[in-house]
Amino acid sequence: MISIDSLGVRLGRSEILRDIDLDLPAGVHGLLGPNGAGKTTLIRVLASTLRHDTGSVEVLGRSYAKGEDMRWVRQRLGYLPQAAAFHRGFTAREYVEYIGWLRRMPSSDIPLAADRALSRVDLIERADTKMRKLSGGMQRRAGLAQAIVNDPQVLLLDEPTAGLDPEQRVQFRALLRELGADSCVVISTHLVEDVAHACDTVTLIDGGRIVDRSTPERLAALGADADLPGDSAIERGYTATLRVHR
Amino acid sequence: MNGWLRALRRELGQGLPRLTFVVIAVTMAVLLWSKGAYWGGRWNALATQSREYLILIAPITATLAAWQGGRTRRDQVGELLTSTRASALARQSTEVAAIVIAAIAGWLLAIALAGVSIIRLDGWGTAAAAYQILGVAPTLFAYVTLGFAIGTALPWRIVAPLMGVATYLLIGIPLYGSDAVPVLLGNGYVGDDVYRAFSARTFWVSIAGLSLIALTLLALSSLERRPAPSRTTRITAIAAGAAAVALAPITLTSASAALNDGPPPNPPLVCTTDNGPKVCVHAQDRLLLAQTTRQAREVIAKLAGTQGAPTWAGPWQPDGQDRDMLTVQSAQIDIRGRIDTTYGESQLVNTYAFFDPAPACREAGLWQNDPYLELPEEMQAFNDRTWPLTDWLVGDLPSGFADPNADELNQRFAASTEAQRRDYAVAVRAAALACDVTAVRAADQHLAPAP
Repeated sequence: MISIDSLGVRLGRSEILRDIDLDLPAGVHGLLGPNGAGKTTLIRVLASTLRHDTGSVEVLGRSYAKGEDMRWVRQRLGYLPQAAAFHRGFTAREYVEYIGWLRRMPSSDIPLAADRALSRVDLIERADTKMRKLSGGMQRRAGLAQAIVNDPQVLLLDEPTAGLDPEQRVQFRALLRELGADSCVVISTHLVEDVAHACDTVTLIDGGRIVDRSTPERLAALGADADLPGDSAIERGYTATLRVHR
Repeated sequence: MNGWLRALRRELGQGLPRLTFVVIAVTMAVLLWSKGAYWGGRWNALATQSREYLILIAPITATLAAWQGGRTRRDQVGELLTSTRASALARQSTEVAAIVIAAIAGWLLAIALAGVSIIRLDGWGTAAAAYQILGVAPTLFAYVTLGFAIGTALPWRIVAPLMGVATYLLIGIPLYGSDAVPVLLGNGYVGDDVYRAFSARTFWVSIAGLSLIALTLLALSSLERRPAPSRTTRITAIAAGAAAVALAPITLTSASAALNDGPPPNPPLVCTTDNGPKVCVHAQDRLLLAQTTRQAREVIAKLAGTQGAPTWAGPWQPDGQDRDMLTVQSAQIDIRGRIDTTYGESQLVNTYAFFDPAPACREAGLWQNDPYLELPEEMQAFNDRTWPLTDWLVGDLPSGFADPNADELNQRFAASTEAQRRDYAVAVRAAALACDVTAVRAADQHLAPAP
């Protein structure tokens, strides 16, 4: 569903991403790495909000080099940016419906789809509350609802669990696994636990490069006996992998 | 329901369009009622008066629109919106439309309330003349679009109030600086000629020009829709936007000057056919004149017992005191009009009538200031005995009628009831217009005794 070949991104004189090669089929894929590794930059490129300088990106078989293809992909995309992104005066329902409209969903389908999306993130009872009056966690869940309102074939989530309480995280991971059955879900996170419980594959990024492609199970195995900092095996495996490549 | 309409309804429910509606409605209502004496009972005067308030309403609207334009950046939704399929224009059009609709609705609400008061006082009368108010709609659209575009391109909080100040200056400076360009950026401010501004192509050219500039700015600012525009693109966009704003007055001035050379399109003039100077009167001015002369006849009948009043049909004569004026006289009523040859044929504009007291009264030096009833509402107020008390306090009597016992009169006036004061004011006014000093003195019988 997503094919990236020799991708490079520069911002000014800084090289943020370089030589990224990645193929992501349907499923849930985690982008893991320390702060400043380039995870968000990669997500933004996939969301077509940031131009890449070298290489190519194909999503759902369409290249971002052509404007029409990019718009075609945008219709089938779901995106949750890292920063809170909503109009404060909208209610949660209005917010989700608004994004549904901007994704060019059939207008008659939008109300039902918005309610379904809000139900999936357990926010339907606060659907008519203004966004500014929701708690941080609820705002994040409304953000998730807008990202899935159009049943996207590609779902891009940047730090999606920030602000969620433990119970909500568990529900969210279940939702991710459900979505990943038919779609390509890409999660950028620095929380190893999210990756361990929800992702099919893990891509480690450090210094703008992919340093490892693996699975949560393999990462956990690497950390099982390692004498490294970390509260869980997968955290120790993550640390070990990064140290090997540094 | 169409998706765009659904999005528009969603935007209309937001705080800023609601605020726009309330602010415009309240501002207009306060302005209209504070100047009620100038439009009371007259539809076309209401139209003129309300359009003049665009000088305040347009900056307010532009300020609110600029604030709306900066919302995307303030709420940090640019990144998310960029990733969607819809064009920036589709999204922005709902935001602009919401402010435009709210502003026009607020405007019309205040006008409607004023209209109700006119109907209660004077019936429907010349309500058709109020059609000119509709010219406000494209004006507000232009300023909302311009404000929104600038707010989008420069999404900092300080820009919105600056936009209001800039709009006020753009409109106000030409208004106060020159008679030639009130239609340039005022767009509906009409100065002396209430008809011309909304029929002239200059008006529509300036509206179209402002809207075009605004749409250009919007297109430039929507470059954010492209993934990370390069630095060169950003600089080009900002430079082009700044140039568009800077060139706006020059462009519109040139367009106005070019278009001003031609005649107005099919003015509904009615011209005299007698042997005097040929003059033409706008149809709506005729309605005003008919209203004035009707009231004047009643005044004449009350004060002088004579009948008759001139009509606009003449014969017109040059005014001895003002070479730009023509006048036609009959009984004690003068109709005056300013000659305007801007469009070639001699026309009368700003036409009005007034009741002039007897020449002997003037020669006796009794009338030295405020000597006549001029506007139809003044005559109506006189006939209806509703003359505003504040205009006829003792100290404000025409100097020729000033009472030697003014201090005592002031004390008695202060001690009088509202009804006594009004009876006194009307009696003084009637006596003064009849040029009867004795009757003026005797009017104090209506006041309370000295305390």
